[in-house]
Amino acid sequence: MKLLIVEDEQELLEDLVDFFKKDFLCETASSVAFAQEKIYMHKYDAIILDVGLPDGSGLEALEYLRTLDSNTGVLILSAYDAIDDKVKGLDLGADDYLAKPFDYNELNARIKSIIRRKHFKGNNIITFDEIEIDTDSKEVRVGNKFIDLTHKEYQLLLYFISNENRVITKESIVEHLWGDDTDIFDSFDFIYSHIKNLRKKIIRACRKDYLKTIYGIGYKFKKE
Amino acid sequence: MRLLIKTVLYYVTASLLFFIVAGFIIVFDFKNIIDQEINKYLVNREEIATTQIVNGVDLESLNNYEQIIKETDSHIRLDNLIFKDTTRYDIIDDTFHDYRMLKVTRRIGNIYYEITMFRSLIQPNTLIKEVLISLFIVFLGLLAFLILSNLLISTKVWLPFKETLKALETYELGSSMPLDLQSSSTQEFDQLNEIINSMIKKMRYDYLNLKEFTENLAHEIQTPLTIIRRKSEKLLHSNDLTKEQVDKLNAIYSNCIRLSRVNRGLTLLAKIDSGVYQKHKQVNITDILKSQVQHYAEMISLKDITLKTDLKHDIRYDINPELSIILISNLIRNAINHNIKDGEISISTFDQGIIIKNTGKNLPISQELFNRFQKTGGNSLGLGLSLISKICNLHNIHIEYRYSDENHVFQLFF
Repeated sequence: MKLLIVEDEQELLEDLVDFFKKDFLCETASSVAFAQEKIYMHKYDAIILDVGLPDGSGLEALEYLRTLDSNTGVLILSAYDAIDDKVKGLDLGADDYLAKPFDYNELNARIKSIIRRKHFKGNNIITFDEIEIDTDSKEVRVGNKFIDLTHKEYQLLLYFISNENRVITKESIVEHLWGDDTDIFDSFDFIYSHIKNLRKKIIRACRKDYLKTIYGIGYKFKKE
Repeated sequence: MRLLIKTVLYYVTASLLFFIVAGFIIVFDFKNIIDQEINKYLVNREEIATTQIVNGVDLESLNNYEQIIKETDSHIRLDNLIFKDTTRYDIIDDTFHDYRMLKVTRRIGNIYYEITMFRSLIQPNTLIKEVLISLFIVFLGLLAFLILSNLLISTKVWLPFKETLKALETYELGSSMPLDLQSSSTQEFDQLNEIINSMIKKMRYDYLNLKEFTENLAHEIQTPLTIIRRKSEKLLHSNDLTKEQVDKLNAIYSNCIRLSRVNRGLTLLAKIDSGVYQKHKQVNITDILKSQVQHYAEMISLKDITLKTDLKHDIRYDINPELSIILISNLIRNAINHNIKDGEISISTFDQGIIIKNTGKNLPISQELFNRFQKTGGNSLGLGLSLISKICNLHNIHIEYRYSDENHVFQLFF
């Protein structure tokens, strides 16, 4: 799958490529002109689009893209945590919006969700080893057994699977599940109960433990 | 005190003093002149009387009420004119009246005569009274004229000054409207306007500079923060770290997140200040309360807090929809954040507003907590309450805080 990353900050661009190269064939552009050129020449499954570019707004590239095709998923990255940007971007046909500074796992989960929506229409089944998730009905199955998950556990599982084989920090999980409200909690210990329950349910259903704890840092979800 | 009233008062006091002094001088002068005239008149009559005696007119026929001539033996102070003010009984109206008296002893032939002349002072006294009255009337007229003309002139002369004041009063530093100071025909006012204009220009320049700086900082800081966050994350993922290194990296990582959150909060506050959230709409506050309560229900139960709600009243208010959500969520977050274990939150509505009550570990908060970065500890950023009060101020929502029965109570009147 092909991913175009449009970002002018070199350091950030490198990090993004480094992060996504595992799952995607990454191409980069650091200006509106370059981005438009790439959009014209190639077809991408998804585009990560920074708004503030040296020669203009990333939204211009989005506008240009939408005159060519509508099937490419676009996620806007913006340093301007402005509702204006968000509304304008979504109006122009962006699929999602993320404000800087963002969490990479979150970005990854969002990109994958966009691609699922755009490219697997009618087939909303995510498969991970034996686990099958229907993102439409929000049902999780192992073989023909349904696993009964709470809403938060479901979100958590989807997040883990989207970030398969990647280290996920506690902060990242909390941010994903509770957004901006993380500062309410003095410690993140409470997520252990969610994770413990999810893990128990999966082990019971699959007889396998996919979730690895990384001491002091977070978790990793991977096949044996 | 208003400038006009102040000047009028000074005018009145000054002219009052002037008139008192002038009145005294005039009355004194008048009296002098009248006295001299009366004395001349008395001397004149005495001469006539003396002539009549010399001519042998009968003494009896010369005597009347105002003129008494009698023969006398004493002849001390011969030909010495003695003037004296006296009172005499008047049989007609049965009172005493003021009289001027001239007494002189004359020798005519071998006989000494004591001649006494009287002249009533009723007329001159009335005259002085009349003069004083007309003087008083003139004074009143002049005073009225002074006040009126002063009011009119001052109003006209000070008009540009008042306009400047009004323009300054309505001027907002951040607004795009320039300060409109009309030029006048008064040099001093023009000078004042010029000085104000240049001061405002400087202030506006500084303000915009600061605003731009804040905005730039808020935006430009985000990309480096993303990079720092990612780099520390990547370092955390490397395998051969000592526990100490992990702890330090974790600190970098979580503080980076914290910094970006503070930054976001401050940007939001700055945006509210600069009037980004101008659009108002009628919003159902109760609905927002319900959805926010639902949103935070899990967190509340995770913290072992009991939640009581009573959302029967339908509260609608003209407010910016985004800010209304921020307001409600911050109120609830505040109640969660500063709660105690096994505590309680009660959220209820009444016909004019909402009440959010929570048990808390701290003593009553002071007004300063509504300022930025006033913290009571914990994980909070210290921006919540200042956001709440800012949004309330912007929308004229009256907010009241009190501490009763170990409960922090926030009451909002819409």
